Amino acid sequence: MKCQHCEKNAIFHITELTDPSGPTIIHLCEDHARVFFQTGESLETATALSSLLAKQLQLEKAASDMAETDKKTCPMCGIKFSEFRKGGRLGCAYDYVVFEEDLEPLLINIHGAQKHVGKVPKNLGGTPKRHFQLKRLRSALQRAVEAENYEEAGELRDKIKAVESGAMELDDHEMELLELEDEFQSLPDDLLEIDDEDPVDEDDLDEDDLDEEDLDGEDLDGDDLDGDDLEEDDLEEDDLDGEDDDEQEGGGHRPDAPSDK
Amino acid sequence: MKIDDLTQRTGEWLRGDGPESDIVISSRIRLARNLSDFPFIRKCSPKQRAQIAVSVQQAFERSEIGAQAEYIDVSKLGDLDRQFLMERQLISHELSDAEGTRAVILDPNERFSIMVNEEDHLRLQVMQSGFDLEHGWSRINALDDTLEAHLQFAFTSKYGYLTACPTNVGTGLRVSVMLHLPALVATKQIERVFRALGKINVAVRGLFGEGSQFMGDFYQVSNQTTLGKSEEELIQRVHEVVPQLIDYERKAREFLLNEDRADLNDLVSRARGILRTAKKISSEETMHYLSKVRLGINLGLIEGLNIPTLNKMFIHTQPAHLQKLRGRKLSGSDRNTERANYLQQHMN
Repeated sequence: MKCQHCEKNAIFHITELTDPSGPTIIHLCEDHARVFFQTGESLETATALSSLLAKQLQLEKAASDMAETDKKTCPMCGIKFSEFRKGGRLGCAYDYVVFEEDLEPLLINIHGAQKHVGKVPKNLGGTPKRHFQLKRLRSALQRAVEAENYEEAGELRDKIKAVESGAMELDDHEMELLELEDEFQSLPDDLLEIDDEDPVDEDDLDEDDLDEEDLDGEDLDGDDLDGDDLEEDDLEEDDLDGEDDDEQEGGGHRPDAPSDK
Repeated sequence: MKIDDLTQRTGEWLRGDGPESDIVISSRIRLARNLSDFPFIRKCSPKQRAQIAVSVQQAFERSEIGAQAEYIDVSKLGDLDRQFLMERQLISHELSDAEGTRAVILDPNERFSIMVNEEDHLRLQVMQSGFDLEHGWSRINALDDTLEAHLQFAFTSKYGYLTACPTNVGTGLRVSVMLHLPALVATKQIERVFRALGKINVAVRGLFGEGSQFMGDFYQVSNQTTLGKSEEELIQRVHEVVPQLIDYERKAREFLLNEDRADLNDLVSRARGILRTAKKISSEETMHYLSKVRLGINLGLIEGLNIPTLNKMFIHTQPAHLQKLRGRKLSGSDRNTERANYLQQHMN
């Protein structure tokens, strides 16, 4: 069947209940369906619009690419791109940063534009990037305080103040480091804090990092928690990668497994 | 201010005056805003929803509008009060039906309302009777400035104000003008007009119905896009379209008067007759006939009734209003009887 407004095939067959004279069925191609759905701002319509456009994005992408996109997760709010595609609502402001390349075609479809023109608030501190940096810094601060590492805590406090006031912004490298630390922190039996680019040095393996409860007895004696007891095998990147837990052996380093003790 | 105090009034947007008020019922502008410290609503914990509400309430109380408006905890309102506010278009369906902490800041004159924890953390809206978008914008802009002095909104220079739905991102602005277009409906020209409107990026939807069911010849024209144009430009676009619609409607009215005067008279008189004499009547049917009577008043075919009185009937015959006026909960069937009683008293 052809679209009512052009020569393309109709993909959408919409039963319209809004006509006062009774229900009518409308046959539309994708482009005209988009125009059709771009009306009003009711919940239903907005959702329909987002999901329609998201579906269109799917058509434009190879299935494998879409599966990859769907898996993308916002580190700030935890929403997956697939959740957004289904519900038509984002989880937090940082999604606009994390999903930027996927949202852009959608915004162009909806608005015919991709850049804001118009009012700018006087208080410009509300950028999602800054909030994300603050989130990372605050959890680093909390860790430092818990570890009674007061010097580092002091430095972090200064950084937080500077970022809050807009005087500074963390660079990508600093953010990556904080991100790694955050990820380690989420491991229940997190042993080590290392920079994956640097060789392990003893400073990374001081007592603060080794919580007795988290240690696997086979590798370490509870009485003697210095770096000498750790073998090189224990410090491979794989062991610190939260996604490969299934392939790991031994209990002590499994990121998602509960502590053995 | 008690919610019940509003019952006897019609509120700003149904006052029935302002420019072009024979055709334009009201002009409305809303802004969507989110606090930068919190995730959007769908990812908010109950605790975060409560924290948002507290932040907004404190900001509101410290601001210039703190003294004139009132903060109402919507989660503590009963079904009837929520529906009542919805019928007056002071809160949305979504806010009314949501769960968890949510609120509305209400101007007692109903010239603005601010919904808290709707789809976005904040939805500001200003409304006025008749066709007047210019004042609307300066008022809502000032309201936004007032809140912004105490709150930090999620914003980037690239995408503007960040919203839960990408359809609102950028300005977060939706401007809508509610029109009464009975002659375009009667002359079956309305569809053609809408098709033309679709081409210039303006959305039209019916009013008052559940979902988008058109009722009583009322239509809402609003901007479709929110990103890539300034607030003034977006408003201007709607501002340019509305006079054309007014013009079409006037011509259609003239046509009916000149060509179909007897039929038009019949339509209007029957509508008035049914509203006067019915013993049971639904709100849909009431809306339908009130619309025809409104047309009759505007064309001078009906004596002894004026638009403000009629507007009052529109709002008072809505289900929650009717129950408030009667002071008790009524079943659907009882409401139809009470509605007919009300109309008999006021329709003469």
